[in-house]
Amino acid sequence: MSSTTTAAGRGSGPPVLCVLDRAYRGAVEAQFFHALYGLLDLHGQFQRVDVALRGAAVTLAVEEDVYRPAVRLGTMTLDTLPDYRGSVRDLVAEDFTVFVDREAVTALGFDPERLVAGTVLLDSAELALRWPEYEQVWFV
Amino acid sequence: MARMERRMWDLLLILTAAPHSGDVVTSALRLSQAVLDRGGSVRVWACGYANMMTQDTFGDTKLPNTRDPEGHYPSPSAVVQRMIADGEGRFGWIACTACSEERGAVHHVPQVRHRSPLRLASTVAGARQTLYLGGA
Amino acid sequence: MEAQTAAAGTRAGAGAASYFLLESKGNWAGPTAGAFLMDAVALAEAGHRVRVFLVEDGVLSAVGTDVPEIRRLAAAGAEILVDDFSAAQRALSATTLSPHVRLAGMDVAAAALTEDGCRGVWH
Repeated sequence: MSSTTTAAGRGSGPPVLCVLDRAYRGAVEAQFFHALYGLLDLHGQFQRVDVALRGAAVTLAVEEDVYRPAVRLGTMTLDTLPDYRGSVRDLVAEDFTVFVDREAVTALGFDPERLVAGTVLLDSAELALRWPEYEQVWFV
Repeated sequence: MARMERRMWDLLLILTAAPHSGDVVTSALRLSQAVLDRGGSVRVWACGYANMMTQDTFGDTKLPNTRDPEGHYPSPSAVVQRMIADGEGRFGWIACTACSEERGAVHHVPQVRHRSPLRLASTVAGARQTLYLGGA
Repeated sequence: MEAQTAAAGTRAGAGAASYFLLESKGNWAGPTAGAFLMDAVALAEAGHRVRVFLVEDGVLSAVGTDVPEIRRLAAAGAEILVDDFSAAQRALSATTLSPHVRLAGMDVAAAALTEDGCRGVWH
């Protein structure tokens, strides 16, 4: 199925805001096929797709260097577990706006400086005020 | 007449949550591996949509990753089959026949045992420790 | 069913049980999500040996010093463990964990659950 693309390489589908307030849905079974990958894949179909991370999902956007997306099961090292922060970097690089809920970041004690570069820290109340900019708001 | 010794498993995990709902499948497999690493034995009893993990319709690999089309990504059933093979008899997987039928998920890989829910109590009795991982 | 004798090294007396409680949800899962940790508090305050293993989103309950259930568990003598993989996955190295918890691998859970007399419960 092909979509009509704009001059900027986007699709003609309506602008969509995707809100993610639930994360970590299946490291072994999902591997690369997690929610953020799904959003990256949608991109070409819509004029604009932005993402808002809320609740515990804000942790997807916190840079760190401890996590290794790998687990040993039997004699196999499954090293294709989701790289969530990598996907957030990809979202930013591919021109998604990624909003991160300020209250959740504060409640979890993260320094906002630790967020993936290019994400936008936003007060909870402000996100809803942006809904009119989108034709669709999906809680993913 | 010699008494038949029932085999006792060290741990039974009753896994009821759907894959992709949260990380419980990952935790169950990690815990299983940790018990196996200690020389112990583990059985997983799959209830509900956990029975999707071992469908033979998966094949060995997941669907292609559009961002890494040449990458190797084992399917859930391949992961379970690998653990069974590597477990050398110390890792087992049981599919609940009722849950499988209820969800149309009846085509399991051959390494999986099939048990009726009427055998749940005896399966629990055959393990020294049982954890019920809720979330169905 | 009689309660089993507690393992040596615990503060519980005769008749006390040993529990290994795995919490995968925790306080961020909703208003009643702290109830399991309060079950653990009640068991510990009754003199049973209680070890709590926070895993998956449960590790978020170990963040900061303000979580009442964690404080009460510690005060009651329970041991609070945080799954190192879940913590790393959620970037918790970038924040401060409660002084009452310690990071542990799944091998610790495996060891506990295969101890004689230890009762495991998963939430």
